[in-house]
Amino acid sequence: MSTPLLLDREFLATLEQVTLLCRNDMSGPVGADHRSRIHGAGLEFADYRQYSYGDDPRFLDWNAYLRLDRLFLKIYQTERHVPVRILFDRSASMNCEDGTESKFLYAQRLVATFAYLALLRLDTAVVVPFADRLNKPLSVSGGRASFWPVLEFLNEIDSGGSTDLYRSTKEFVGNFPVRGVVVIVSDFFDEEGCARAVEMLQSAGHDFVLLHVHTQEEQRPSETGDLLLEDVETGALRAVECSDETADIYERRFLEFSTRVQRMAVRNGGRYARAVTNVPYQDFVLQGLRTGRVLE
Amino acid sequence: MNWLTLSPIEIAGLWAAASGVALWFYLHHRRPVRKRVSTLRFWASAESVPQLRRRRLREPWAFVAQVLFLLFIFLALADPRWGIESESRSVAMVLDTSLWSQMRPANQAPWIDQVRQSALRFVNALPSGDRVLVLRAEADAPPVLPFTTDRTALRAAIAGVRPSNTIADIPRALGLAKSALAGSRRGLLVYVGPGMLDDQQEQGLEDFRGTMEQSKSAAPGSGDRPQFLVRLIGDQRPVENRGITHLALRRDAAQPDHWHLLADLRNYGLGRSPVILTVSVGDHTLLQQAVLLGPGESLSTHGEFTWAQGGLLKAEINPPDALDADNRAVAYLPSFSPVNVAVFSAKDGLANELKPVLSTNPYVRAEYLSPGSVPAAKPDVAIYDDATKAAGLSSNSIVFVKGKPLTPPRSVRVLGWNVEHPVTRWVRTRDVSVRNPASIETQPGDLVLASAQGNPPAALILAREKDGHKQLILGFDPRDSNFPEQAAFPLLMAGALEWMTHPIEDTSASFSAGELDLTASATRIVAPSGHDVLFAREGQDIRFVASEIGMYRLISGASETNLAVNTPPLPSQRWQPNASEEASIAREPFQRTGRDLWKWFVVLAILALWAERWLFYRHRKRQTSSEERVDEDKLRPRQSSEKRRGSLLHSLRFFG
Repeated sequence: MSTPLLLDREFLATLEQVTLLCRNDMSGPVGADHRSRIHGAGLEFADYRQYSYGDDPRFLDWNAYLRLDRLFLKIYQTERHVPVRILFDRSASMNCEDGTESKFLYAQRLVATFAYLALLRLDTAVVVPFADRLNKPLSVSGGRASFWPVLEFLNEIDSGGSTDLYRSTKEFVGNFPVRGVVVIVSDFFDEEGCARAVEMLQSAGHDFVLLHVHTQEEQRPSETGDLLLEDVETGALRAVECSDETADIYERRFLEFSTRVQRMAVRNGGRYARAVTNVPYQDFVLQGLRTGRVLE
Repeated sequence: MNWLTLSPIEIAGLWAAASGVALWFYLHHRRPVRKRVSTLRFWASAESVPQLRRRRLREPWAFVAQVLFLLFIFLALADPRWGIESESRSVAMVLDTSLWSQMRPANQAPWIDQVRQSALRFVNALPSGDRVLVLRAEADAPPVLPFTTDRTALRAAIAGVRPSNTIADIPRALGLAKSALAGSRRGLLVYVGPGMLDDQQEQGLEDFRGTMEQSKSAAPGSGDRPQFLVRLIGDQRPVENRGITHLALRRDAAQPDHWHLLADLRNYGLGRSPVILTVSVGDHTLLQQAVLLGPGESLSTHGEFTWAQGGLLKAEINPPDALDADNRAVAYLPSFSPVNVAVFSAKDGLANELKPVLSTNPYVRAEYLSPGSVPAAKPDVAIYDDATKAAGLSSNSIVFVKGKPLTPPRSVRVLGWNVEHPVTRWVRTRDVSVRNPASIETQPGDLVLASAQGNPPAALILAREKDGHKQLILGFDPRDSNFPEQAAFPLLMAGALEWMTHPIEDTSASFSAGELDLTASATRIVAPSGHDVLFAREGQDIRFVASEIGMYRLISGASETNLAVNTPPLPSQRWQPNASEEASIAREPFQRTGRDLWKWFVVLAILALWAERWLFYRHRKRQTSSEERVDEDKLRPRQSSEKRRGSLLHSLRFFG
């Protein structure tokens, strides 16, 4: 099978310099590159504190004892493993574009990017496709050498089904109770809304990122005249007359929607980034996600 | 303004058709483009389409307004009126397209074109509601167009009139036109043409003017007062034209192939005019004469020529003038072929009695032979004095049968001449008596031409047609009668020879174009152009209108007669119209009392068009705004519930 998802080498090399930001209160096995608020064995100095009985004498600062005649203990930041789970929306709405750059492909590349970033930091990357429910996930770890299965897995995913974000999130929280970074790559066109799903992630303690992927056509329709629109997920039909005025109203509502999703994410402690498919995904990753404080 | 003046049925038809087209556009031109989208939640104007195949009007009131707009437009085009509709005027137009309209004066348009242009100008000056009848000025010519308000058809009819070869009967045509206007309250009678009259027509025109004045004075205000107008074409200068008015030929009595020609020429102009008359058959010129015609002079010219072959004789005068049609004339010249007669008789027999009769007939070549001899040329008619030798001959024959002598000898008077038969049609005498009449046995088909006095009378002269040959059987010997001494004997012999061979045509006359009344038999008449001519038969007479110049063919079974038709003498006096006849069209008395409604229908149509646009866009705007409102309503509770849930979770977390 061909692999159109292959990220170009230059981009992958660029990703070496990029770090996926996450909250520093995440717990996990020690050993990865993620700094945490938990102090312990580590390479990076964090602070001093007075020695108390029972502390490991290896971390005593003997130079300070010689100068001040008091025992101080050097405290280091512990670097821990933070699992990165990527929820990938594979519903039909992600792949209904005709002739333009596919939203589905764009989302696949973003998923692959986040998986690669996780593997770079020796974290565990879990790719979890979902539509109206959670599908079989792929969990990889062990560095960049495990990236190839991710691409194969993404290639085998087909779009289809309607979006049920709440149900999928509910199943996700049940299956992955350990806190971690959760990246949801979706268009968030869920008729039921995404508020409950976001609240559920927040209450489960995950550090989540909402990546809102959409096309320019979805933001502002370019066609005018009488249109008979068919919802690819529900099959519902609507006859509309699209004019400049209608397109303005449409765009205004779309922006209101995306703002609402963004507020919802921020309010619940998450992050939000909006990806338009006419922007090259490299630019979005290296610029848009940095601006959104998703990457560093 | 010239409206379409549609009938109610035409309005309904056009309206229905236009409404159908508008409905089609309403149903079809807004067929939406199908498109698959990821969500419908952001579309402001949305409408559920439960069934794709079913089309329905999305803006029914706008469509109704559109249909009303179309109705008002068509009503406006129909030019309806509020009030009395009978106020429209009836116009009878007499177009003079007679022979004079073929005039092509130098430096002027042909008169027929001037007639058409003048008629079109007149029609254009008429109000659109006037009904116009177009008549020709020629005798018995059918109307060009019946009463109509269709200006397109009227102009086409006027443009399509062609000049004829007959002369006009202007008073008669005006009388017909006036009769056609008798039923209408308002009328207009107009003559358009060169206005050429002869003395008789001039008198008839004065009488017509008198009747017009009487109708005006007799019933003033009654409405039966047609206005009489005259539109003359051409200038008032005398016409410069010369023409052949008559052509006749007579065969010389002593020399059958010699002809006497009589040609009547006329100069219609006011100057002396020398012409050369040329008579020819085919390429062979028979006669050429120089004639000097004085001003307005009619001159008969005579000429002689010898021509035995016959054919179509043409007479032509030169130099040509503005009217070419009367510069030539035609006549049919019959051919000359003598009748060969063989007389079989014993020496000093019948031949002596027949010689004086046959030798004086220039059309007969007689040969006297003894019985049993062979003639030099095959005879057309054989004459026998012996019935036994005449039997079985295969040619036309005249047989004298000698009877047995009576005892005592006595004479029998010959009676009962059949005047219907060509042989005895000229014989009326009761003085013929014969001795020793023979007893002739009659056969079926025989015609008894004369009988011997008796009780019952015995057949004495029989005409018999058998095996394609004709026989005349006379039951007496001319030497035993006083018949050869009677003047009826050569007439009987001439009649017998003509009956058995062919009639003798000793004259050839031509006729003038127009209505012809002839004594002839015909089952079909073919015009010079090759078209069949309608004709009426009344007894032995036939009547038809010869509108072409040239040779007509009268066909009756196997025989055919040629009839030459030439231009008639033309009327040459110009009509002098008075001031009222040259006046313009009276408009005031003929104003229609009905009020024009088309303006109001135009206003209504504009309102309907505005309403259609307003309804159409109001519907769309309302639909858009309502959907916008619905969408806002859908979003608002969702936001509030999200807020509520968020607050609750925060509270639980806080308390937890």
